[in-house]
Amino acid sequence: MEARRTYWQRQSFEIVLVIVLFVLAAFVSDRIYTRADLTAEKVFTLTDSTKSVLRNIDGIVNVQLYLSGDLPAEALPAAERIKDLLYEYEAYGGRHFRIQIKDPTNNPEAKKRAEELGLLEGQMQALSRDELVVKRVYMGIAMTYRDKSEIIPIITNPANLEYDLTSRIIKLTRESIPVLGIVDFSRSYDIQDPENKSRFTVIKQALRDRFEVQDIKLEETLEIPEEVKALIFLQPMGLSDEAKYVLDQYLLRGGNIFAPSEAIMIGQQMQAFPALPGYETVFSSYGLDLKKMMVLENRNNAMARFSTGMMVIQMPYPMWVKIQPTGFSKDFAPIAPLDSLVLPWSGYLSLQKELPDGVKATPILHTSKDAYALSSPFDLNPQQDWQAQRANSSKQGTFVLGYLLSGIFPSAFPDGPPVPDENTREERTQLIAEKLGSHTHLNESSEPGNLAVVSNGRFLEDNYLNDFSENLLFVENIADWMLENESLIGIRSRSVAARPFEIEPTEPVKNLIKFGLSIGLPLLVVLFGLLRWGIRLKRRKLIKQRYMSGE
Amino acid sequence: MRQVLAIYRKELRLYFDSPIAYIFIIVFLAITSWLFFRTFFLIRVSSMRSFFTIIPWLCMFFIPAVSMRLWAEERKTGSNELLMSLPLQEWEVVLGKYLAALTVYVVAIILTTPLAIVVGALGSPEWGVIVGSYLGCIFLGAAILAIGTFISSLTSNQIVAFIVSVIIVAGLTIVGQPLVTMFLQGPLIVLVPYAEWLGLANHFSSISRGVIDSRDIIYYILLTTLPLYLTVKSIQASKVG
Amino acid sequence: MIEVENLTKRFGSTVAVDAVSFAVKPGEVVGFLGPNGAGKTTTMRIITGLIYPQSGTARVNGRDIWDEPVEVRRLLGYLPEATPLYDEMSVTDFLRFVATVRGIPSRDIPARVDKMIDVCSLQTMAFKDISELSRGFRQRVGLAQALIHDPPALVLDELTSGLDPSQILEIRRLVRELGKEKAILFSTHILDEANKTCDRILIIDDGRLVGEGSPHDLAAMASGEAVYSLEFKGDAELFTEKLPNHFKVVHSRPGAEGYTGMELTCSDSVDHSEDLFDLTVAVGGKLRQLSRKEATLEDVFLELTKGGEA
Repeated sequence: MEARRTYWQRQSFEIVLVIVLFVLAAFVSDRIYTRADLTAEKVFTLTDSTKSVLRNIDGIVNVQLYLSGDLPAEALPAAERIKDLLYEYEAYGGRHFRIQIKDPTNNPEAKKRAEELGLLEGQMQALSRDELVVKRVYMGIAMTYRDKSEIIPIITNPANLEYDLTSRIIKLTRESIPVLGIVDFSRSYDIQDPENKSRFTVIKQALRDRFEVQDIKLEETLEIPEEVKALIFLQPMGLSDEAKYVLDQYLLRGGNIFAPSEAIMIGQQMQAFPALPGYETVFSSYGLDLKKMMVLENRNNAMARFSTGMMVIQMPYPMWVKIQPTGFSKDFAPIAPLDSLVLPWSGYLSLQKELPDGVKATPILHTSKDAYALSSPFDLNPQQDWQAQRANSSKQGTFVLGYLLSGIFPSAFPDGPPVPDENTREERTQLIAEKLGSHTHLNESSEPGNLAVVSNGRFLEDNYLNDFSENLLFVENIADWMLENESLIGIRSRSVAARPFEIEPTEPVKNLIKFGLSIGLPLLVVLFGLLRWGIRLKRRKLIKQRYMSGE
Repeated sequence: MRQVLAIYRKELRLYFDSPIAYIFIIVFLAITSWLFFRTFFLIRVSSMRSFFTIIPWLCMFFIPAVSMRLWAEERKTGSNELLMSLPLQEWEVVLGKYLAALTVYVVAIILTTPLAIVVGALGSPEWGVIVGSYLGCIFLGAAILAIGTFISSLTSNQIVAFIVSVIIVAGLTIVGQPLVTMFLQGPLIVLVPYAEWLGLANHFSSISRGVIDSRDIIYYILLTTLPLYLTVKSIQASKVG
Repeated sequence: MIEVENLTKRFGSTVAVDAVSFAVKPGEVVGFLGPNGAGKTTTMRIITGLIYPQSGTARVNGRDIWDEPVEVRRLLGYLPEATPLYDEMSVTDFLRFVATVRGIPSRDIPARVDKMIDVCSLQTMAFKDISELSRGFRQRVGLAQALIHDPPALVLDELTSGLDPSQILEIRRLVRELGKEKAILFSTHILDEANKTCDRILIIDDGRLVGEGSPHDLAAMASGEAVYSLEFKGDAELFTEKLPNHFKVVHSRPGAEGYTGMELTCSDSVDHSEDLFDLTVAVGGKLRQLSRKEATLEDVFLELTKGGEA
């Protein structure tokens, strides 16, 4: 009795212990883990920022992928890719990121819901019985978190999905809404205008619709409120030294600035000349120069309209630089999926030979490699001989029209705050003393900041935005990113490498492969079996001889 | 270890000296290559994804067919009487037998590599993904095989062992799928993550798209070792009574 | 070498082995005798560690089955009842497999296998698959696998079942040969076999050990018990009164024609028929019939196992 009882006691103890260990191992493995991406493009490696966003979700983000079941074959890889990426999110988000896949095709309820959510029904051409038919498909995502929701109405290109998803998760889960500051220096051209209205009403309204916006009268107040997370300049020309100092220190305190900087001024009578100094005097201290030459794009020009009194003519105009889809850097996800941006009469940017330590520069916009630049005086005539101009041009090639500088900046005011000269009015001197003294002077960034510069400011003006609505998208995406940049930094746009056949086998070859393998492989196994059988028989004989001959 | 090896070789010999292993491998190869080529030349993408997505479903039927005889047959013919009278620890027998059955499965999987060669000849596939997926197949098969071994150790009837294994593996395969989790509503919704963790196929999806996750690997390792451990215990328990 | 101590094994409500204790010393062949279902096989399976008892234990060379089951199996050679073998393997492959698992060094294995083939006279069958072998040869292969590691103790279950008479003789000779140095426990339900092969016999019935002794002891026990049956006419009471002490009346029944049928047992092995005649004459009676029957081992066995009642 004894031995048996102790045996079972020992056994049950061991079994319980082992099961506890298993549960523990399962539990720990679910918390502490690592993933290795074996794809060549690392398409499934989420950026650290996405991972940290997913880790910090408090509550549950519900994601509904509306995917039509009868997608045309060409859309299948994209659909696969979308699902894969979502599962990858799920892998990191765990129970905080829940995916549902809905097929609205035969599910009127799901279809209705998709419509309510504002998802778009896309049209795709599909080959059906050798006939091209247009299929209406859903391929969109709705995300809900508590009472908030965000949608991606239709996913046209999954390459940018990580950015789209992560930025939406941030929007859903953030506690407070960051403030976008707009500094508008512009005045209407129309002197008769009694209110002397801004030339940037459209963009300001659009930004107000999407973001929490604060208008900042920089010259009057000389301060940027604490809550302003990112700043957009409109037409920053003729800045005072004090304003420049405030901007410099704002950036050094970890601020985010988007500065479209005008390189070329256009007068009332369409005469053009290099722009007056503006904010570029500040960012030249950060290692970036605004070149006030006119960039002309030699191919795929934007269409410009000119009124010649009698009529309006529309013609391709190289001086309105149109950025091609390839001109948007893939390393900067917020704008990577854009396919057009028109910069009318633009200069270009170039980095100084040596960047200050701590500053990282990423080109975000560039022309095609056939662009060229002209120096002042500029002739804006749309009907001039462009080829001759190009031949005369001293600079040809690719020009960078947008840069992102990020990291630790040195101050543009190494000697401390500017001292107002004696002619300054009393109240102004007081204001300067009060505002500029309210923060300790930084000679170097206390926190990493971001400065995005485009060598053109005009493209956001009302009349251009009306013609080129993509320009608005560009600014919105940048603003979006700047408000959330800590969480979105580093997300790249990753194109799916579709891997079609490189060799198209002929029909007989196909059949050979098909039947050769389907039948040949099993046949090989049969052959092996027979071979083994033969060896066995032979061995049998040998053993027989060995023992029988001894008899 | 020598003992394990001896058992392993004996079992492997029994597999390959009888038609079982051949039938298994031939049917497995015929089905996989037939399913693969059905769409391969139509989609015209050099990827083996379609091949790997069918593997969990094939394993569900094929592996129990390999594992069913491991113990059930010995029990039926009584040869386990002889086997267990040899100076062997239970785990040595279990491990030897298990590894032999695993070898049969791995051989079947390796024999599908000509498909990969065809894919590579026609285009430039993601080799990392293919290698990772093959690895995943082996992990998946190892886990299913361990479950089948355990079931086989509980019965002396091969058919019962096969059917029960298929049911259990099928249950584990679909438990984490939306098919099942969608029924977990209301207060049961807290079970969803656990059901998903338990799902055999859920842990295969990462691997089959080329991402190796330590969680999946550990899941498969746990799901391999636990049934094997239980097999050892069930054999000991049947002795002690 | 083999010690069994107070072994009890129940399967559900049936008691297969009930408090059985015995020992087998080296150089001793012990026959385990009992009818089918008496618990022989169960006891042997417990010794080899195939199953474990509810209580009690078994030891081989001092190693306990609870503490060192593998060590116990290492010291034992076991031939299971009905000789289940791997039918798909050839004889040599099978022996080689057992030798490997038994831990015989690889370089010694061919020699050991050859030796076993020789000892068990398997030369003509060595190349065949086990499934092709006759019952007798299977038994020999079973014996070969039990002997291959030259174990100090052997447990052989129903060694000779299914063998033809000449094979049986051969196997018995082999067992006696082996029994010179090994401890051998072998089970049988054939009395004669136990009688001719064993140094000692254990008789088990219904899970209990009911008799133990050398064939000689048991035979002596039997020869000491002679049964006299007689038909006596006369003063039966006086006759029984005058009977010497070593006689015992089992029963007496009045029969036809005034004769009384009597049955007597005598604990003495000497033939006392004449004494009975003399006594009859002395009491003035008549004898119509007198026969003496010596009890055989079989009677002892049947008596002990109550098999006679069936």
